[in-house]
Amino acid sequence: MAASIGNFLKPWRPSYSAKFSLNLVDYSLIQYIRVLVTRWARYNPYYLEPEPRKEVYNIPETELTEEEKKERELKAVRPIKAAPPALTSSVFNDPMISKFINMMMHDGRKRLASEIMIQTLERMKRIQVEKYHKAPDAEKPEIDCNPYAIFHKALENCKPVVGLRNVKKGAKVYQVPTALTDNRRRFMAMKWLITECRENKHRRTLMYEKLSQELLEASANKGSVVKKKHDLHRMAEANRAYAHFRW
Amino acid sequence: MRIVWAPEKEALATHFVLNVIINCTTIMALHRLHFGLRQTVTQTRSLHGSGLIQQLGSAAVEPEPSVRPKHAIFRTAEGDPAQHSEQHLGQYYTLPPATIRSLFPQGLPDRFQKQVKTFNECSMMVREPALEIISLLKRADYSKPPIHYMLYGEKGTGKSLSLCHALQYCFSQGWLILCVPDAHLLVKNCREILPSAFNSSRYDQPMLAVQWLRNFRTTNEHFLSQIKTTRRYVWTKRESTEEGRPLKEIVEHGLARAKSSSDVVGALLRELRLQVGRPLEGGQEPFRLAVAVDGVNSLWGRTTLTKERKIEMAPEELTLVYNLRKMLKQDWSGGAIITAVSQTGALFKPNFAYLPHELLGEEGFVSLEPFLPVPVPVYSDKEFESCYQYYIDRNWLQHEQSRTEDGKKELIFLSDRNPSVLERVCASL
Amino acid sequence: MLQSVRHSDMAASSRAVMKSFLRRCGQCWSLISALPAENTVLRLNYVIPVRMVSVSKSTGFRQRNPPSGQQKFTLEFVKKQIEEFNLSKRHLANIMGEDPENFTQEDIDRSIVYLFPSALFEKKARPIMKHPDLIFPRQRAVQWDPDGRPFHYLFYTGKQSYYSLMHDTFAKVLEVERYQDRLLLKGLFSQEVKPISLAGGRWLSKDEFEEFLVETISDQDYTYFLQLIGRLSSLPYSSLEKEFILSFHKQLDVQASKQLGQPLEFDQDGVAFSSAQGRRKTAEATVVLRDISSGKITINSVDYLKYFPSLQDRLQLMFPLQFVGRLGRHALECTVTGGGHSAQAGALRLAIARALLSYVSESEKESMRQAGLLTSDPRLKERKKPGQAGARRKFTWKKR
Repeated sequence: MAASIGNFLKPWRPSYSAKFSLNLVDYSLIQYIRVLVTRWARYNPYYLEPEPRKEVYNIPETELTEEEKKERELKAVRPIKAAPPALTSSVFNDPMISKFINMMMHDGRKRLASEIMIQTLERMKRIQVEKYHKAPDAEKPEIDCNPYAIFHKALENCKPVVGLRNVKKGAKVYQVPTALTDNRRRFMAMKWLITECRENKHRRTLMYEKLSQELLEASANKGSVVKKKHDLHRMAEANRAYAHFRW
Repeated sequence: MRIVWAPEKEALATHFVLNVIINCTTIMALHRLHFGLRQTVTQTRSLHGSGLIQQLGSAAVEPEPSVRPKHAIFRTAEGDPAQHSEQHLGQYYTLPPATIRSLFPQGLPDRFQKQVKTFNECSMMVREPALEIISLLKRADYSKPPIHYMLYGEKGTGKSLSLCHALQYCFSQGWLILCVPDAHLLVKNCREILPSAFNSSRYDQPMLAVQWLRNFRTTNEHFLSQIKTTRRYVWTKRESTEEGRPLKEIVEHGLARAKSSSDVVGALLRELRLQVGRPLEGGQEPFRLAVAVDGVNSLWGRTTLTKERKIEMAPEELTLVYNLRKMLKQDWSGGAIITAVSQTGALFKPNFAYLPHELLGEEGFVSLEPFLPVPVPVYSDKEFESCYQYYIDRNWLQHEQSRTEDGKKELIFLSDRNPSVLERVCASL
Repeated sequence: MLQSVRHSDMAASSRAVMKSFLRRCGQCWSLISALPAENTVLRLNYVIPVRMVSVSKSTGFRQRNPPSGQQKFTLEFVKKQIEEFNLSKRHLANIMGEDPENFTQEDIDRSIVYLFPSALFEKKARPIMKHPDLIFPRQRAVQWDPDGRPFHYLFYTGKQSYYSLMHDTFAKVLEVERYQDRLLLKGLFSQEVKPISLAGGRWLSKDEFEEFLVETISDQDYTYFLQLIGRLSSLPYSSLEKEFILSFHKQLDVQASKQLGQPLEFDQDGVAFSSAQGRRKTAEATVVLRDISSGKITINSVDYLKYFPSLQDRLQLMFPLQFVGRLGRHALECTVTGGGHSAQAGALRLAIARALLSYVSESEKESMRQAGLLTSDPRLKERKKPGQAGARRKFTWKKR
């Protein structure tokens, strides 16, 4: 019997909110993995996230894994959310850069944040290309002019491997070294970069100047953000004894 | 292009008419000009077509001292603007650093200057408007009053750079260059304004005048010692310059004494106006004068400068503007006037205005008539391709997807072939 | 007779309309109610169980004075409401000048919105007219005998239907596993047998499940139920209990079939064009997509480069065209009003995507849908609430 899901497509408010999530493998149950639904969220959790990349739709049936096939079947019957304004199928779309722009944004001023990012990338490229054109032929292949490659490399170099967590045992609070998820690592790297550029700069320096300088240093494994990461690693190493407090 | 002149009168108040067939899209823009019956210009230049591509292939591309690929069809080795012709359309030519230092001491347009620094070379594209002006300059009659070429177009299409290209031609021919790189700076954001000693109803801008004199001296070093003053100039109670002294002295005086620098500029312009077209001392050839003003629409209209008691100043109350306006009147002979109108930096003009009569206003339009409007369009397909290849060659397009067909199509869409927008989009890729 | 008096809940402006309507259809109760309100006076004769779990004939004290809590509605009362509803439906159809025989629920909703326009934010507070079965919840009869002994052995769990269902389901799981073990012993266990295919469907939602059980359960209970039924259906030989499993499963329509594009039209010069509209926040856009390869795009007669100086907005315009690979093959004439620059760009994007539906194939339509191009973005500015500074921001907390 076909269910009319007209009800699900109207503006919807949740009548429940669960605070735990379960690791469910079966896809028929995954649709009900509970998320912390906020009050008056405009989309029913029934809606799935959009996938705007073109190449995903050109993969033939034969090359898909079981999971991907199931996901395709699921997507065929479920409604999909509208793609947000910052997401396009453009070949220049980079999710890492979009995330960084969102983190830099204040008060919803996306235009300003993207402008700063564009200026940062441009400045990094200018510095490198200038160096490239002035360098002798032998050194040219070593100079990386791609600002996106530099950005990704810098981010990788800033990501910590272990993090510290406060664990209260008895009356004392211990700093326990723990593993970090990928998302957490990426977040920490970006956060460090942004706070470093906002706080530790001369009043007259513009954000994009400082940011481009930091990214270039970080991609060469130097600079204050990489130092911060090393400090964290050192602390984790020092507190190695408490690692067994991890739950 | 052949110009057939048949002016009605030879007096200064001649209304000569230009019926120029440039291309069909500019006819709309010409509706405000007076149309007469006398002069016709037949355009014999061919339009873009496959013939050009074959010509390009056959154009000699010699390797320059720095490494260049042999098959770089977007480049040409021809550095002399006098030799530029239709076969070089869309190709990049390089200006030698010495020319840039002497011709553009104040620098080129900002974004372009940055590009020059980054790419370690100054390369400009040979485009139609500049070529048109150069070919007209080659064929003009210099015993007549100067022709006023006015470049106009939408924002970011390349007016300033076309002006620079035409100016480089004049410089290479040994003309005297009178260049005001951005006339908008004269009418806004000026901190120091002094009442003029010469005429109490006018106001001086000493710092701007000094800066301009310095640049003028750098560009026209050799002329200054040859041209002599025609009368005695009294700057202050104690300082004066006698008749018959070389112009160099006036310029030095202006640079030393900032207070009288605006008057020095006025005197200089007057001398040039009187002596252009006349043979110099020692039986030398008469020099030719090129007057170039970028943003000429700022000389008419409004300023954001105020007099005492916060009353807005009119542009003609500024000495520099007053003298410059006199220069733009076609009452001298033996040179050319090349100007560009621009909305960027213009005061109190709507954002999308780009036509001459919109930007100049009634007063400006009437004062500058008659002039030859030269439209500057966005990149054509060939020019876009050339620009794209140039950026790849100079390692400017770094994103791996930007070098693919899909990336190129996106660039065309996002920039709509506008040169400055394309440059900004490519800057972050 | 049941009388209901509704006091000052309704807005004064609609009262006059209401009164005249009431006079016409003779005090239809079902029209007046949003949901049964606290101050509505009901005089009950006796409670008859709505759902016949067990018919109770006793006329004990507890039945004459039911404990206060959830309101109880008698079967007779609901039946009367249904009669009145059908009658008032016909009256409404006459008022609207439509055919009383074919007056559907959508027509009713439409008429009510027309006759009683309400600007109230809360949807549930607006006037509704629905079938009484949808308004009055199914209720449970008394579950114990006159001696006070409950009928069901799981009564004291509090959620007897739920727990008995869980026990039944688990029993079935064990049954199927035992069957599989027996087959394995005999060597008849086939590897090819697959569990029931549940693709293209969903389990009952929590609300539907509660309706089925006629009792309220917690989220955790619901999740456990899903886990259990999922476990049952993932067993290889789950086809033994096919009807049981499928009674909790609902089949869904394939979404792709809902994306319909308008057929292509042709103008005087024989050029194909299609037009569409789109909305985002307060912006509304109309787009005419012509099959000319000049690729010129004008928005409100202004070039798109001038209209959208921001790169992000132009990327939004480019998105649908680039996705289907038709950049530079179409000329667009757009008009857009309202909203800000981002909302206008979003509205245009939706309109362009809808217009492109006329040009693309079915599989491309499905891809466009999955890329999020064809969904209308429902997000609007959240209202400010009283007692708070903004939609979410609270006033500064002061300790004293």
